[in-house]
Amino acid sequence: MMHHSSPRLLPIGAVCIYLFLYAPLLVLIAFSLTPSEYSVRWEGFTMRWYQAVWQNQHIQEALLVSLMVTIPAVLIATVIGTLTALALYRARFPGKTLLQGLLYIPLIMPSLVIGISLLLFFVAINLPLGVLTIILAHVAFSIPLTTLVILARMQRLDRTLEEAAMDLGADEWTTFWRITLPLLKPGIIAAALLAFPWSFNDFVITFFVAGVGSSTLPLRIYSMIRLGVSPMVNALGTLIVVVPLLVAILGTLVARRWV
Amino acid sequence: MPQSASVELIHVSKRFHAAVAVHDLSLTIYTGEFFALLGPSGCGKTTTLRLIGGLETPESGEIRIGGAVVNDQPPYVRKANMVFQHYALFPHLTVQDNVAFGLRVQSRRLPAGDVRQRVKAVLELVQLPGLETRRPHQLSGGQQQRVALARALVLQPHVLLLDEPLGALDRQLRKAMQTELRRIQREVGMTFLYVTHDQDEALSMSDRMAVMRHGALEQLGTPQEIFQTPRTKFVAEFMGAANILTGRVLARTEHSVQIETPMGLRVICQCAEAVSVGTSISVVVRPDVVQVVPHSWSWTGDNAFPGLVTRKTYLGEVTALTVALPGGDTLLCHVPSRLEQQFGYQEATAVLVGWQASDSHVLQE
Repeated sequence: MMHHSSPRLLPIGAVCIYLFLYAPLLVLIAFSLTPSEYSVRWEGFTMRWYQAVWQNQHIQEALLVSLMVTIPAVLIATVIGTLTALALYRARFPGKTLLQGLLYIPLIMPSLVIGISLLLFFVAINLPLGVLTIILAHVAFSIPLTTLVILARMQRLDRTLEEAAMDLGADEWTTFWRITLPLLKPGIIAAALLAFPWSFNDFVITFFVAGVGSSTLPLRIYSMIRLGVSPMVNALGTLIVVVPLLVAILGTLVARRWV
Repeated sequence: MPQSASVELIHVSKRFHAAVAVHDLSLTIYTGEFFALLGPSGCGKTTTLRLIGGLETPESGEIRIGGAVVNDQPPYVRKANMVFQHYALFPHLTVQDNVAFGLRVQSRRLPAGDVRQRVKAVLELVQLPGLETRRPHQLSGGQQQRVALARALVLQPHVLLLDEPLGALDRQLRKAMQTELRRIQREVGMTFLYVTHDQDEALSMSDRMAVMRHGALEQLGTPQEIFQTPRTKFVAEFMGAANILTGRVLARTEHSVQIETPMGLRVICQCAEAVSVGTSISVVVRPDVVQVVPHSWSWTGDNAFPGLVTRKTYLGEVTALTVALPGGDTLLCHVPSRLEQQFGYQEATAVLVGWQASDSHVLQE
């Protein structure tokens, strides 16, 4: 009997899991498109909440802060991640395995702990909290992610390609620029694409190191909710899910052409 | 005309951790020759090639290319270019850019027009025009092979190092590429050092060849010398199925010895070496020198024995017959298939086998 029923149960189970994952999101999107003030009933289609988001000065400021943080943080974390991955892959030194293992720890450590420790650190070195500290924090927690993604790509790299380049007359530097880096490019792009939402969406760590005056978008949404759930939050929520998703899909398509 | 040396290895040794890869190897490869390094996997032939290319550093000894010591030169300075076993084509570059790579990274910049000209010429040499804009993954195995060859040839090195370049191709293509490689080598007159584990490849392509074993040279010579007069048991066996008869020396004349095997077979073999009566030696009799005739025929050669066919294997041009001799020794004989079919040997057919003493010789060790 089990053999007969399992092929039918499997797709049903899969549908349930996807519903569980995405139904709340669909509800959010639905309520962002209806004029109901209190977010419980569908009362027809409107774009007015998106208009409100577009015209809200606080949100504009927060978006600006978010981009000012995320863009440099992702760029720096991707460069450092590439260099770290190269060092971990190439160089042989004592404690290399330990160092590689330590990269995973920040990924599973509670954000709360990272946030508090970064806050203590910034206070200890007398660095005033603001956009700079947020960028530094984002670079710190994005490095493990970028490094591991690039390292995974690097481990599939054929070493004889570098040997062939050297054999054909390219010195170490030329080989790196013309062979190694282009071959790593899909990995580097993937790392940056993953680090972007990783940094953009962060709430907990940013909450600790932001200080007063500089709020990123997640922080702004949180303070908006504290004053009551406005449908504007639904619209904003939809935007910050859908826009990065489109960017990621676009990025993947572009990256595929380079592989 | 005295030949000049293209590559010289002088007492070169290389070890990986505890394992010795190349041991005290001395070898001279002359300018313009097609030289094959033959041996089973792990014999150190690829390491030798990588040492010459600069991808490995020797522990001791000297490597010279075109007369100059290159021990301290990195691979990108050496005038030796490699064709890798799995081609190692750059996947993100087109055929044009793969072939032009070496020309473009040179310190002395060539004008773009010259680069294009030389790439075009070399692609014509390897008969691969018209594919310049393709990527490696869009090419067949044979085409990739030609691109790898062109990429190294275009730099006009002192010596081209080929690491089992035909290993990944199917049999028919491999045969065609063997002829092709030989043609290209003659056309450009470049020194080719060719590593392979395929004895037929080494025999049919090279001017001279060396058989390697345990990181050292076992025998060096022309293909004919190595095939017809293998110096050791290892070479005899590696060059193909061979009859190796071991026995005690009964008598010796100026040019020959007579030995007796433990099973009582008495064999005469040409011998110029110093062997004394009573010692034990091995002689090699290649299957293709043994003649097989019906048992009723008479035979006046040096060695002639009656026997029974115990196995018959059709190999195409020749048919392999295993013949059991009265004492218990067996002999492998390769008979031209047309001849064999005329006589119509079957299993258990009584035959006479024989060979000249001058067609066999004594093995060392």
